[in-house]
Amino acid sequence: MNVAGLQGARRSPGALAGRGLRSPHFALGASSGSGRQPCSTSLTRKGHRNRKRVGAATELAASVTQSDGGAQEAGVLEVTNLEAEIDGKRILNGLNLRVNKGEVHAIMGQNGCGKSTFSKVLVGHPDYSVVGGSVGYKGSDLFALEPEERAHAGLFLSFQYPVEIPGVNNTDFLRLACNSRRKALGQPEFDPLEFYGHVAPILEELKIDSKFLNRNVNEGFSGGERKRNEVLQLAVLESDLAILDEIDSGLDIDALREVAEAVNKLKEKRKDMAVVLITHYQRLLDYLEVDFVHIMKKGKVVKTGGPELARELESEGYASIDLEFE
Amino acid sequence: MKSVVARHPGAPARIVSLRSFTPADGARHGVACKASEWLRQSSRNLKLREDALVDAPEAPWANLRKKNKNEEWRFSATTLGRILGEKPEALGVGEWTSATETSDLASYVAELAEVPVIDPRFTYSQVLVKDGILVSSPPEGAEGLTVTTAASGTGADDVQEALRFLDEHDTERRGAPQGQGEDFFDHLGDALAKEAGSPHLVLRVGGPDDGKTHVLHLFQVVPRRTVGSTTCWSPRVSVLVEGGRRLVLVEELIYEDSAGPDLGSGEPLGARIVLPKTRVYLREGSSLKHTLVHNGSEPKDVSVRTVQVTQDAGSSYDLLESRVAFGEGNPSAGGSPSDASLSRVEVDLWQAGEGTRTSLNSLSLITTSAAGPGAPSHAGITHELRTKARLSHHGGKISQVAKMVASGGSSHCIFDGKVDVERYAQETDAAQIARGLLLTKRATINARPNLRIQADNVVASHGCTIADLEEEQLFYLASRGVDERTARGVLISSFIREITQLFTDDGGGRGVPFQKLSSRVEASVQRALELCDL
Repeated sequence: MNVAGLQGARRSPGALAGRGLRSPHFALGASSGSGRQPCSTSLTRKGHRNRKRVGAATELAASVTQSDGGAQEAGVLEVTNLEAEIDGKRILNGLNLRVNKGEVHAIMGQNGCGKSTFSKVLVGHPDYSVVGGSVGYKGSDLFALEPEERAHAGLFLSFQYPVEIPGVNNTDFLRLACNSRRKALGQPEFDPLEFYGHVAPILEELKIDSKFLNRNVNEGFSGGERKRNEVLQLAVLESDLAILDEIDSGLDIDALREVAEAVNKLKEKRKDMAVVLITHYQRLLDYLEVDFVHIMKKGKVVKTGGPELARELESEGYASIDLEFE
Repeated sequence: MKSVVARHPGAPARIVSLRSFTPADGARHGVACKASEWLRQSSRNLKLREDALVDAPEAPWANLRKKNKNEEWRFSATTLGRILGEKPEALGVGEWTSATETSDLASYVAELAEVPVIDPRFTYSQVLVKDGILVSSPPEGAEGLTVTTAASGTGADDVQEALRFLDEHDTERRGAPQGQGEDFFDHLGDALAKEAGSPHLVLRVGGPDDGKTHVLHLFQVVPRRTVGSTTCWSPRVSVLVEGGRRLVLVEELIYEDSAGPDLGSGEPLGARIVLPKTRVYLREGSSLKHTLVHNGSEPKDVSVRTVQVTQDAGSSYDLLESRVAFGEGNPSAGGSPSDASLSRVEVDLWQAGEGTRTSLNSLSLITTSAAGPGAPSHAGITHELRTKARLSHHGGKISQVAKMVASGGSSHCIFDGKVDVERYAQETDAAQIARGLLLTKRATINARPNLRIQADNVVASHGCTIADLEEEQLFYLASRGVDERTARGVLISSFIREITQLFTDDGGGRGVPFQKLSSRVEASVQRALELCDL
């Protein structure tokens, strides 16, 4: 068992309890039980008998935003005690998180706290290795899936630094991605014309210039264009869980607003889509409405709250969190 | 600045010596087979004079263990040795399958040829070259374009004149101090052309400029291999463009029998040597867009193509050279090491006037896969490109892009490009880049970009990159749901698109879209990608 995880877990309940939480569907490294089931949250739902979580945390009995019985489908992402490393260096130390259908979560934290690592581990980047814990996605084991299968299952990562692929047309790329997922889901693939019919309304809705389609993937794109291209891909793929890794980095205020608006539009249209935002700044949260804010430190979530937590952080800095825990 | 590549040894041992690797007799392993007997037999088979080959320089695959290796064949002599040297057979002329007898040739050509576009800017015609036979649909309205065979001796004075001029120029170039020493295959090809009546096509474009661009699609049908001798074939093309006219010339090697003739006899088929040679002279202000295509590869095939270009002032020459080859089968599973193939293209270009423009674009894609039980084993595919460009005058411009992709342990790409900016070639611009993708362990790329500058006011660049596919790009595609094979295919296609798009680019690139040719190339690329090991 991971000792570090346990230690962290013991500290957190107090912090958690102190907040007026709207929902218990996230979990901190808190546990009244054994270290094996550090936290978890979903226990308000009777009848949910996830074998890993039986009898776990009951202290968060508050609020239920999801109806009973819908646990299996409502819990889109369930991260339990996740530990991961790169090149032998431990980055994630027992991270816990639960995201339900339609929720918007923000993960904040200082540089190097493991935010981006977390997002990369979720989509299966080959450089990172998972050394402990588990991630359930829509009720099954996420790590049993290859990266492309995770995408087929509806998991989407918006890259912090979207990669340029010179020589590959954006339309062809989008259609390839879209058809890969449709094929996996047993839906008929789009021919170029049908695909245009699929993508044209999305462009209009997200206010993206159709010239985007004729350019090569991210080649010569500005920071803002790249991030909007990511949102476009998210919309085209109709994913169920979007992880937006620092979608605000490198953007000026206007570009940030545009990207945020695009995300909002998409969220409006697809209410069931769950979103995990990873960001440094509260600024992004001015434009996007979030349900929960999590603060990460040294590879785990140390504090969770509502949007007010982000504002508090903005005024007092991460140091306030440090003080609380040191 | 790079040093000059050493040339062919000047003092040639003027005799062909072949090595036999069968330890039949003699104290040393590998006693030279009786060269004189081999020569006599080969000359007879090729219908040459008895002594036609006696003067030949040493064959590149002879004496592989010699310390001072032949620089020109430094990277490929071993492959050549494996194919031709293991059990040397006498050389002989090949034959063609009956599937395309003269009567069928027209339909054969029609199948491969482009759908003619009604465009007043172009005239399009096809020529099929076989055993001296030439089938041509007469280019309608192609004023100023003369297509004929040297052997046919149609008596047309202008053709004879062009041929004389090119011959003289040839001699002049060979005699120049910068000229290339004669190599074994040059000698063999010349002997075949002179004496055995190999097909020799003469193209002359001239006359008043009516604004049209002539497009000529040349299909070079390779003879099938025979039992007991090494098939030799050397089709030649001589091109003279004058008066500011424009010519688009496509030369495509066609292997009509992939399976070969009836193998009932059980005797192994011999090797095959194809030596196409094209010489081009562009007079002032004229232009040639030259496309060379070679798709696929058969074991025991050797092709050495030479292109010699001379450009007068203000002329432009654009070369698009594409070779795509793939092979499957496990070389260690019972196959013979001689079941390899070599394709080599040598370009020797001279900017002999002011303000000339040259572009050289080439693609070499090889995949060899160990998969596929029962598939014909292919012991290795080698592609070699050697270019020499000589800039002698003011204001010349040359740009060269060579792309290579090698996948599979027995794939080998070689690039040796030299740009020589001479003393009076001031204010010239020379750019050369070689880019390679090495996709699997043990695949090989040898690249030697080479620049020699003697002028002091020039822009010049050269470079070389060799890499695997970008992990981050692969992961980006995977995270969007694209499986690995598709993702690799997409990235390889995008890598070579810079070259392949030139086949269809209508916007000032090639001028003429070659849809069918492009789809043939594309089909080969797809086939090759399917065989790529992950």
